[in-house]
Amino acid sequence: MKCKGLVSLLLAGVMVASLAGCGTTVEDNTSTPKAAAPSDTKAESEGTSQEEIEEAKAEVTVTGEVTMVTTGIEYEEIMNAIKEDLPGVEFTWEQQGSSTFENAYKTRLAAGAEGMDIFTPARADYPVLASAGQLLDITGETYLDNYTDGVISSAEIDGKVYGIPITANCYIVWYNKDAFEQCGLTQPTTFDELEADCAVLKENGIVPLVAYPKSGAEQLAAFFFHDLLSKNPQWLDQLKTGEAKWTDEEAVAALAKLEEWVDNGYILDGSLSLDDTQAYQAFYQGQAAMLHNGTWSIDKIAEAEPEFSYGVFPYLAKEGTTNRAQYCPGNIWTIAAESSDVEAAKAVFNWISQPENAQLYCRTAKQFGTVKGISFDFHEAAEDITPFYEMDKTKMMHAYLTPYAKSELATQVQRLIAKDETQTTAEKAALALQIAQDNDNKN
Amino acid sequence: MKTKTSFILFLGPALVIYTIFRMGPALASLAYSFTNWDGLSKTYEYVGLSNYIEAFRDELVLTSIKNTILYSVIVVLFQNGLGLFFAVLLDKQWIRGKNFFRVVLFLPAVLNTAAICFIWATILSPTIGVWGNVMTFFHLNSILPYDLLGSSDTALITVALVNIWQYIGYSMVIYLAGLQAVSKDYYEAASIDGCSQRKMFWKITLPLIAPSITINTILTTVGTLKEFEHVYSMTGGGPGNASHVMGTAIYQVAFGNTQRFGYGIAISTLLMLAVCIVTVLQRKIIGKAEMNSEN
Repeated sequence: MKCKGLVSLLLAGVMVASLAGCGTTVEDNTSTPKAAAPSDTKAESEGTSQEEIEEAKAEVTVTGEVTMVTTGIEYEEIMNAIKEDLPGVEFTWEQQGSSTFENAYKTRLAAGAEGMDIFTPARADYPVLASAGQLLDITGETYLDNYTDGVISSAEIDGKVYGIPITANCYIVWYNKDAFEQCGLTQPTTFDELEADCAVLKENGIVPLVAYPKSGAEQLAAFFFHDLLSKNPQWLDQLKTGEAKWTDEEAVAALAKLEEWVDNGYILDGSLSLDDTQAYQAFYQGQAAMLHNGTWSIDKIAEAEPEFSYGVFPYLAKEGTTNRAQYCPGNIWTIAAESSDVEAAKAVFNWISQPENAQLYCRTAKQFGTVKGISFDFHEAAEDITPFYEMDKTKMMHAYLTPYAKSELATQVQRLIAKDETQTTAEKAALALQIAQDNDNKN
Repeated sequence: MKTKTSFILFLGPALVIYTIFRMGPALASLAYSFTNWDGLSKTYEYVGLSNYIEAFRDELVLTSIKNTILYSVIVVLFQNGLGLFFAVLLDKQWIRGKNFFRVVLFLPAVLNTAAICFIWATILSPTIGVWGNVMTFFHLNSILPYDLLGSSDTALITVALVNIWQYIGYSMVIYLAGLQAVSKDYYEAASIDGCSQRKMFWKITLPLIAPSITINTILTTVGTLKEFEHVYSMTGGGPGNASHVMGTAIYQVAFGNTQRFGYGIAISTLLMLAVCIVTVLQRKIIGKAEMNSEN
């Protein structure tokens, strides 16, 4: 028993010494206090006294300055919690407007990560920055084990991890339950049922869907490509290798379906000039019975609380196809490779990866988190959405398209909606998309 | 000698700063236009003139050039025409509350462009704004598309109208300054000679405010050739690329999905050349007209 106690003390000493080796300042090379909870628990279970642990914590306070640059709101609660748990870290959360954010982080990276340690690059920039050596390799960090299956692997570039997807997204459709009930309809479970419902809604003078092609044309396309992506989750990858083409029968059929919906008047007139915020307004005003969007915007509906009762369902596949959720990691937190305070930044990463902190983040940001064991209880709609994350998954279309194809898809979707003016057809759109895809594949 | 020294002393610091912080990056960016740099990587390759050659074959760039010219012509003509009209009107002594109207007309010019565009986009949206009701009330449905910003026929023109609305006051103020510098003696003399109001405008006012016309035209032309904010905020270049101008096209290729900085800089260089050429030509043509009017 005595021997066990001695070994425990020795282990605790080794732990303190090893953590001390990871310090951030020359004078005080110490690291990872409260955030290293698993080690504490282990030490405690092996007999080390609480006082010794507290003593070790006091000794290993991480010191440094961390500036996190993101778009959107900087959450006071998160900042306060970080300050409380990591007292040695001077944490600054800098908010940038969405239109200036990309320029801001690119400029700072070009200046050697001046004034920026942690940031959340745009999805398209993440692999480019990682390959360009602008992001810190965090492969093998123990806190990465705290994330749900598939999350960390989705952030791998050439087998290395450069960021943590803190949130996860999938496509959803909000629907006006009152309007559906008024027409004697219930929540559809397949795309075929959805189409039948649209016909009934239209007959009753209700426009079925409001879209926002001005800012999210690719997301509308994903709604019509969902069956194809559910059937063949590899389709987006196959486009890159040339195994699949936009001009293939199934892809043309998906574009033709969009054309058909336009012809049938299933998409609200005037949608072409709407962005997602305006589409939400149209939905709240009851101008359409459904609104397609993604889980990233749940706060919009949570804050507005429309006067009618509403429900939510995922994008739907046709009858006979296993419906999958189109899924992708959301905000990816990364550390700039040239950060002046890497260890302090890592301590923040460790902190956000702990379930209680991740839970706080999700509740505050009203986002779906990726750390194991957290619950999505920030809004009743969030609880309805939770099961979608447990569905089989396929890649979220707009997040995984190649650059030229993505731009071209937005253009062609807009042209198909304005087909009376542009004379665009599904076949013409598919051809233009394939040319863009070939361009991507060549590059 | 003393004058020369003080000239250098006063000008020197500003010139050095300007050269380092403005000319340096501009010249460096010119070099990047011959590369395939993506704006993020630390390495890139020289691709010669291929970015420039591609620009003249790229449908997006060609559409944006056409749109930029159309946009410039509309805005330059109407903003200056209306600016001059309001300036002449509000220069009249008998107009009551003219200071109030001057402020009202100038106010949009000092407001944030993004906010203005957001408000106009909301107003003009047939689904969430009032435009749908206006169309129905005035029976405009047969002559105008339902969704002005969502129609490829009207999106660009609508944005141009918002631009004109915002900056009419700006042009008006410059014209007002010009008008107030014209001596009232000319009008009195003309009036004694029995000259009509219209003739006075064409023969006295217009020639004497020629410098204001020059500066206004050049400012508007340069501003519209570089147009970005209005188009980006109101249509994003859509629908289907129909309203892209060069500014938004550059943004799309450099900062959009394709992330082609080198190519974007090449298009920027072409835009810069176009602005220089147009400005020089304009200066020459209008300068000649100014000289004629002085004679």
